Amino acid sequence: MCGITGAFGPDAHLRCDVVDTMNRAQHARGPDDQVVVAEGPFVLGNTRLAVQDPTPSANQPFCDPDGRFTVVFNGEIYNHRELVRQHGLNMRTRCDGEVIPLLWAKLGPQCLRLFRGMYGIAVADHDKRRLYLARDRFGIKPLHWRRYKAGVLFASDPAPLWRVDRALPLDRRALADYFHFGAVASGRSPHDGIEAVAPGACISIGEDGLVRPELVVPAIGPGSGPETIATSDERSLAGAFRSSVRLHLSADVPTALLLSAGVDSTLLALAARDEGQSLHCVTVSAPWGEDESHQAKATAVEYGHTHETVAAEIDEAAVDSFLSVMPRPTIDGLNSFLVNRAVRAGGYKVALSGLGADEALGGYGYLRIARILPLLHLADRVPGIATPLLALASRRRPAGTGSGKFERLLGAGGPRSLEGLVQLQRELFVGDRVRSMLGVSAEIEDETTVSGRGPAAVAEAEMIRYLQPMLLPDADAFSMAASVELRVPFVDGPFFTAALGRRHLRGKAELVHQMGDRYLELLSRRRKTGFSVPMQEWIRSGPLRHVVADAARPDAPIWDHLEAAVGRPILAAAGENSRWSEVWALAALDGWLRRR
Amino acid sequence: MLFVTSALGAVGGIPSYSRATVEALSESADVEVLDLDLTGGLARQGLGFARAVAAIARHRPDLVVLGHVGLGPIGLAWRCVGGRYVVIAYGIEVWGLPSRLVYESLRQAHSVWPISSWTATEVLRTAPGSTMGPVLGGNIRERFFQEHEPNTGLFRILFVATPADLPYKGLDVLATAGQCVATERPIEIRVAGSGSASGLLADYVAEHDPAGVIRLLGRVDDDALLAEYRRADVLVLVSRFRRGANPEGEGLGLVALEAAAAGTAAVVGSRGGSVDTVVADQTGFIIEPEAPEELAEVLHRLASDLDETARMGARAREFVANEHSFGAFSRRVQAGLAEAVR
Repeated sequence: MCGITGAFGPDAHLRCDVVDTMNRAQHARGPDDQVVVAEGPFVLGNTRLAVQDPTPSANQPFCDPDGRFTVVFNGEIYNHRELVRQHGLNMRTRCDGEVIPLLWAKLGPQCLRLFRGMYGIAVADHDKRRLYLARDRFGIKPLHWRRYKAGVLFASDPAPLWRVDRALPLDRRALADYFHFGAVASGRSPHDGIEAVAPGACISIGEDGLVRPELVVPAIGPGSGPETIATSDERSLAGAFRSSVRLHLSADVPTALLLSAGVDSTLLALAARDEGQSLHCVTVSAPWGEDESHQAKATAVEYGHTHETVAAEIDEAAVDSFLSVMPRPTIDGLNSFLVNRAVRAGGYKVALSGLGADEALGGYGYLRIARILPLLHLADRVPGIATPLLALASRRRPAGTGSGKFERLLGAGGPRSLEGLVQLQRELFVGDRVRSMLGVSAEIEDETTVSGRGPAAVAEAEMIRYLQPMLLPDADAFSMAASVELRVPFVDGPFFTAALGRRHLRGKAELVHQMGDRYLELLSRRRKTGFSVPMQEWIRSGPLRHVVADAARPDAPIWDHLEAAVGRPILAAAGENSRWSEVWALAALDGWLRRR
Repeated sequence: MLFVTSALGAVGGIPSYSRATVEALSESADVEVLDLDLTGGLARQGLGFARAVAAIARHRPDLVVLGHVGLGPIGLAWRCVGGRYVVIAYGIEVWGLPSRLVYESLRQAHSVWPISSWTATEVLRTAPGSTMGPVLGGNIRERFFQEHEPNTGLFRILFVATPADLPYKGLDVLATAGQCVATERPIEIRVAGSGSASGLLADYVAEHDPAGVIRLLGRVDDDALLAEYRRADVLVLVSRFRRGANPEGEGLGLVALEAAAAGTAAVVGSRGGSVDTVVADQTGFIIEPEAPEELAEVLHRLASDLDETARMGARAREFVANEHSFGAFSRRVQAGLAEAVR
C-alpha cells in the first residue's frame, strides 16, 4: 500500500522536482519510505507504507533481472505467493510488488489478469520506451494521469496533478456525475485534462504522446480473467469468501479487523478464526451513535480474537481536515474519515473492512421494494391507476419532506427493472435538476446498463453507481489520509462472481447459512446496524454548519460552477426538513473547491 | 413498575444487589416487588412462575424488571401480550449453558442490564443481538468508605471466600504465591468467611501452607469484615473462569470494590467481571487467574513499596467513589429506566 507518481517524456528528467513535489503531497499514503528515481525518459516516484516484507530491502521501485522493466506500485497483490510458486519466480524480497516486473517480463500486460488484489501500477519499459499504467479490476486503488509540457505526469491522487499548475478547469461531466449520484464516476477525474485510468484497464503511452489501450479486465462477467475461473471450493459463496479472506490476511505487520455488531465484519471474524488467525479487532465508538462495542467484543471473544474500542471524535477542525484531504468531491466519506483516523490513532496500519458486502449480496433494505416491481409493471397498463397510487404515496409523509423517490417509483415512467431501482436509490438529484443547476448541455447518464439479471443485475448496478464511484474511492482516500491500508475481502473477483450466481436477491442469509456457525446465524437476525453520522443534525447546529454557511456566501467558489438561482434555495433550507444529502452536496463541493 | 425476584431477604450477592436495585428504581418510579419462592421441586417452581404471571396480569405494569436471568420466562410471557421487560444479568447463569427459554428471554428483552462489562460480553455471546442497557456496576454504600489503617509491620493480604468457593476463587493460587513471597518478607494471608464446610478449608490450609502464613478468620460479621478491609494492604480475588455445564467466575467481584472503598488496592483475575473493579496498574493489578508466579511477583512488588501500595489504595477509593458508589449506580439505573420506558 503506497502512493505512486511519475513523469514520462522527452524532457522528463526536467520534471524530477515536479515528481518530488507530487510524491511529498502523497506522503500520508506511504510514510515509511519516499523515493524518486530518473532514468531516460522516465521519472518514477513512490511513497511506501511497508506491509509486506517491511524491511528497507523491499523498498520500491522493483525491476526485472534484465533491467528492462521498472515498476512502482500502490496496493496489494494478495495472491503473490501463489504466483511465485506457479511461475517459478526468483524473488529477491518477500514483497508482493516484486512479482509485477518478473511476470511482466514473461507475459506483458496479460499478467494483470493473474493478479488478485487492489493496485495502481506504473511500468516503465526501457526498451520500447513506453509507460504502462494499470489499475485493479474493481478500481479499489486510484490512478490518474495528465499531459504536461512535452510529456505526461501520473499520480495515485488527482490533487497533486492539478496542483502542478492549478490551471485545469473543472470537468463539467464530473460535476454532472457528482450532482446526479453524489460522486464522480470511477473512470473520471474532477478536472478536465486529468484522466483516471478506468477500473481494470491498462493503457500505454509512447514517447510520441499517443495513448494506446492495452487491456481491460472486467471486474465481473465474461472475460474477467483466469482468476475468476474458480476452484471447486470457490464456486460456493462460502468457499469463495473463505478463499478471499485467506488471501487478505497475508501481511507481515499486525492486521486489525474493523469489527461492528453487524453481520459483514462478523463474517470476516469467523473466516479469520477458521483460517487459524487471531486478529486485533477494533470497534470505533462515538458519542453520537449506537454503542456496538459490547456485541463486537462478544464476537471477538467468540472467535478467539483480541478486542479494543477506539473513540471517534469530531469538531470543526476535524471537518476542515476531512475537506482538505478529500481528493475529489464526494457527499459521503466523513464516517470513513473518522473511523480511519481513530484506527490509526489506535496504532494500526492494516485493517480489514466489511465494505462491499451489501453491494455484492444485496444487503440493502430498499431491495424489498423489488417485490412490487412486477405489480407496478402491470399497473402501468391500467390507465388512470397512477394518480390514486401517487395520492396514496403522498399521504405517507408531510408535504415538502422526503426525496420524492417513492412517488417517482409509483408514477408512470418510474423504474421497472432492478438496475433502475438501484439507480433511483443512488440518485442524489434527478437528471432534470442537475441540468437546471449546470445548464441544459450537462451530460447526464439517465440509465444504468447492466449485463446480468436478477441478483447479478443488482450487484452490477450497485457496483457501477455506488461501489466504484463512491465507496471505494472514499475508502481509499480517507484510509490513506490516515496512513491505514484498508482491505476489502468482499470486493474480490471470485467472491463477486459467486455472489452473482446466488439464488436470492438478498443473499446475505445464503452466505450466513453456508458458513454454518450458530453464533453468526443468531447475530444475523439482529436488525442492521453500522457506523453512521448524524449529518442532518451536524448541518443544522453542529460541526458541519460552518461549511454550509461558507457555501452560502455570495462570493463562494461554488457559484462559479453552479446556477445560484437553483443552488441558493437548497442551502437556505439547510435548517429545515430538507434532505441533508442535497445541502451537503453543495457545501462539500464548495469546501473542496476552497481547499483543493 | 414491577420488580420480580426470588429470595430477596437472603444473605448473598444477588439478594443484596437486588435490594440495592429496588432502592435505586424507587427513586424515580413506583415499584412493586414480587419476591418469589422458587425453592423446591418443579411443581413449586411452576407455581411461583404462575403466581408471577398472574401478578403481572393484575398490575399491568409499564415495565417489569426481572431480578435475574432465571426469571426470563416470566418476561417472555409478558412480552407475548405486548408488555416490556428488562433482565438483570449477573454472571454464571449467563455463561452456564442457559436453557432455550432463558436464552430467548434475553433476546426478547427490551434491554438487558448486565452488572459488568464481562457479563455484557457473555450475554451477547450467548444470545447475540440482545439489546444491551447500562452496565450497572457496583453499588457500594457510604458505610464502606473508611479511612485506611497504615501498615504497621506484617504485609496483610486479604482473601474473602467460603469453603464452597474452593477452588474457583483461587485460594490455591494465592497459597502457592504466598509461600513464595513469605521467603522474602513477613506476610499474612487472612481468609475471611466460613461455613458448614470450614473443616474442609482448615484441612486444605494445613496441607498447602507449610510456611504458616494463612490465617483462617472464620465467619466474620459486617463490621469485622469492614475492619479487615481497612487493615489489609491488598485484597486478592483471582477467581477462575469457566463456561459450560459447570460454570465458574465472578459476575463483578463486589468484595474488591468494598475493599477499595476502604482504601485497599486489589489484585484480581483477568477473566470475569472483576476486571471492572480495578484500573490496571493504578488501583491494583489485573493478572492471569491461574498464574501463582505472576501473583507472587505482583505481591512482592506491592510489599516492597508500601507507600505506592497506599497511594494505589487511595486511588482505588476515589475510583469506587466516582464509578461504583450507590449514587453512581443509581444514576445508571435511572438512565436504563428512562430508556426502557421511553
